[in-house]
Amino acid sequence: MLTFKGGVFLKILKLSIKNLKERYFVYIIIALQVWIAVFAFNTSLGQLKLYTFTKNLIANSKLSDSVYICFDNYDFSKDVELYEKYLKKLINVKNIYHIEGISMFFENSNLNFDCFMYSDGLEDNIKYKLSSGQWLSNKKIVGNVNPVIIPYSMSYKYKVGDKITAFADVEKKVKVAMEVVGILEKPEYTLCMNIGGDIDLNDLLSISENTIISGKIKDEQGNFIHGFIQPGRVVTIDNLKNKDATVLQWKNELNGICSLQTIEELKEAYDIRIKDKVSQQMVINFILFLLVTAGLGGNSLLSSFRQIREYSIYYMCGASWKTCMSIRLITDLIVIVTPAVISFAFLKISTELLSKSDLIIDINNFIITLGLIIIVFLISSLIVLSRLYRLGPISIIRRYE
Amino acid sequence: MSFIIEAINISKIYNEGSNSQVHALRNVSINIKKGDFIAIRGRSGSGKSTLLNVLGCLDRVTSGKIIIDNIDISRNKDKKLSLIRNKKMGFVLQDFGLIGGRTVLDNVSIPLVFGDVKQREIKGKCMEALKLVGVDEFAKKIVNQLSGGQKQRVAIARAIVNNPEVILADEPTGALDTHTAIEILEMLKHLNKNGKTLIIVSHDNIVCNYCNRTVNISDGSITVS
Repeated sequence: MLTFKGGVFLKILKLSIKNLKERYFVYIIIALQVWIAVFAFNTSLGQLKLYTFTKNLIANSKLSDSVYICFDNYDFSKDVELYEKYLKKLINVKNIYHIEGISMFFENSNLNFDCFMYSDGLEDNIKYKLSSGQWLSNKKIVGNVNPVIIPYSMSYKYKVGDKITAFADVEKKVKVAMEVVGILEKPEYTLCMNIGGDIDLNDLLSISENTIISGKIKDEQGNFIHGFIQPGRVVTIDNLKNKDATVLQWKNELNGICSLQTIEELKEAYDIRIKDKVSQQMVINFILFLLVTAGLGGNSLLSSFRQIREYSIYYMCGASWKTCMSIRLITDLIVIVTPAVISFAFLKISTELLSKSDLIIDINNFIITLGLIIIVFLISSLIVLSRLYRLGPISIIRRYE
Repeated sequence: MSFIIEAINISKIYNEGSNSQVHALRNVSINIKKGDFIAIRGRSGSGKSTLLNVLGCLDRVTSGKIIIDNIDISRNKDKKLSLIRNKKMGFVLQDFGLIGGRTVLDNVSIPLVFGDVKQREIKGKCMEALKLVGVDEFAKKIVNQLSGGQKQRVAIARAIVNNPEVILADEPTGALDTHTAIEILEMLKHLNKNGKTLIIVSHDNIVCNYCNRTVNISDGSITVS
C-alpha cells in the first residue's frame, strides 16, 4: 500500500521508487544503456583530449620554433661536450637543452623510479601543467634538498612539501634528499628525448608514470650527480631567418652524425601516426554513444508511454501536472544518475589504477554526457506528458487500457 | 438556492484557431444541487464526456464560468483544480481506471496519497471504503485478478475513499453485463441516498431510469434538462 508520512517531495520520491520497483526490468535495461553511454562518450572525449593535449603541449611551449636533434650511433658517455660545442659552432644556436636520466631507489624499499634531470631552462620552456605546486624554476636547491616534480600517479603517496629520500646508485651509497614542489596533471607526458626509429613526438615525450622530473641534483654531501645523458637535444635558435632553407642546410651538414627535425615536422609525423589510431577509436566510441543514446531515448519513450495511463489516474485522483512531471523526473533522474555515477566512478578508478592508461577521464566530460542523456530523457518524457495534457486523462485511460 | 456545481454559459473549443478546431460545448448552462442524481445523455461525440471533464475539473472551459461551492474555479490554476478534484470529486470510469498490476488497497489509497491524510489513517479509510462496496476481502489481491464487477466496485471505493461530495461516472456500466450493471447502479443509488451527488454520463436508458434528472446533450448544446 502507498503510504507517506512526509511532505510532497517524499510522496513523489516514494511513488517514483515504487514505479522503479514495478518496472525494474525495463529500468535495468535503461540503466545499462546509461552505463554504456557514459563509458563510450567519456572514452571518446578522453581520447580527443589526449590527442589535443599532446599536440598542445609542444604547440603552447616556447619550443615550437625549436629543432630537435637526435645523434646517430654516438657514445655520449665520452664525447657529449665535444659534440655540443660542435653543434654550437656549426649552427648559431641560442641554447641546447638536454636531459639526463638516472634510476633511483627509494630509501625505505627496494622499489626504483626514474629521475629525469633537465638542463637549466628546459622545463621553463615547456610550461607543464601542474595539478598543484610550482615549477622547478621557482625553486632552488636549499641545504642539499632538491626540488622535484612528481607525476600524478605518485600523488596518492606524496603531496607538495613532502620529502623523498632515495639512493642514486645500486649500492645505496649516494643518498639524495628531494622535496616535492609540484605534481603533474594527467596525462603525464614529459619531455624525455629518447632515441627512436622514426622520430616523432613520441621520441620527445613519454608517459612519466613513476618518473620524477628535476633540475641538477646534489647528493647529501653537496656534490652534483650525473646520470645517463639522453641522446636527443632540443635546440633553440636565435633570429632564424629563412628557416626551411637553413634547416635543410643543417640536415645536409649533420648527415651521418645526427638527424635533425623541426618541432613542426615532429608534430606532423605524430599527427599522421596518432590521428588514425585515436580518431578511429574515438569515432567508434562516439557512434556507440549515439546508438546507445538513441536506444535510451526510445526506451524512455516506451516506458513513459506505458506509464501515461498511471499518470492520468494520479491526475484524476488529485495530482497536479507538476506532481505528475515530478514523479517522472525523479524516476528518470534515479535511473540516469545512479548508473552514470557508477559508470564514471568505474572509468575514473580504472584509469587511475591502470597507470598505463593515458585516457583523460574528467568531471567536465562526465557532466556533458549526463546533460545529453538528461536532455534525451526530458524530451521523451515531455512528448508523453504533452500527449496526456492534449488528450486529457479520461481519454488516455480509455486508450491505454 | 445554492448549487454544489453551477456551469454558466460554458463553451469548450479544442484546437482553437486551427483547421482542426472542434466546438465540443456551446454555451451550456447547468445547475447541480447537493444530492442530485443526474444522467447526462447523448450520442457519441455529443460533448457529454467533455461536460463531465469540465464539471470534474479535469479540463478547463474556453469561456463561461464553473462555480463550485459558490467559488468560480474557471480561471483557477492547476494546483487549485487538483485540490478540488482530490477533496470534492470522485471518478468512476467505464474501463475502471485502475492500475492493473497493483493491489486493490494500493489503488484505493491513491486519492489519499495525494491528499493530506495521515499515514496511519490511510489503511483504515481504504478498508472502510472497500467494506462499503463489498470487496474488502480482496484488499490484498492484484487488480488484474478481479472480475469486471469487482473492479468497478474497487473503482467506486476509490471514488468515495476521500469522502467527496460529488461522484462523476463516465459510462460506469459500459463494460459490465446487465446483472452486474444493475448491482453497480444500485450501489451508486445507495451512495446518492447517503447524500452523495452523482453525475453519470451514459447513453444507456437503464442508467437514466436510476437517476432523478436527465440532461440530454447534442452537438455540444443541452437540448432537454
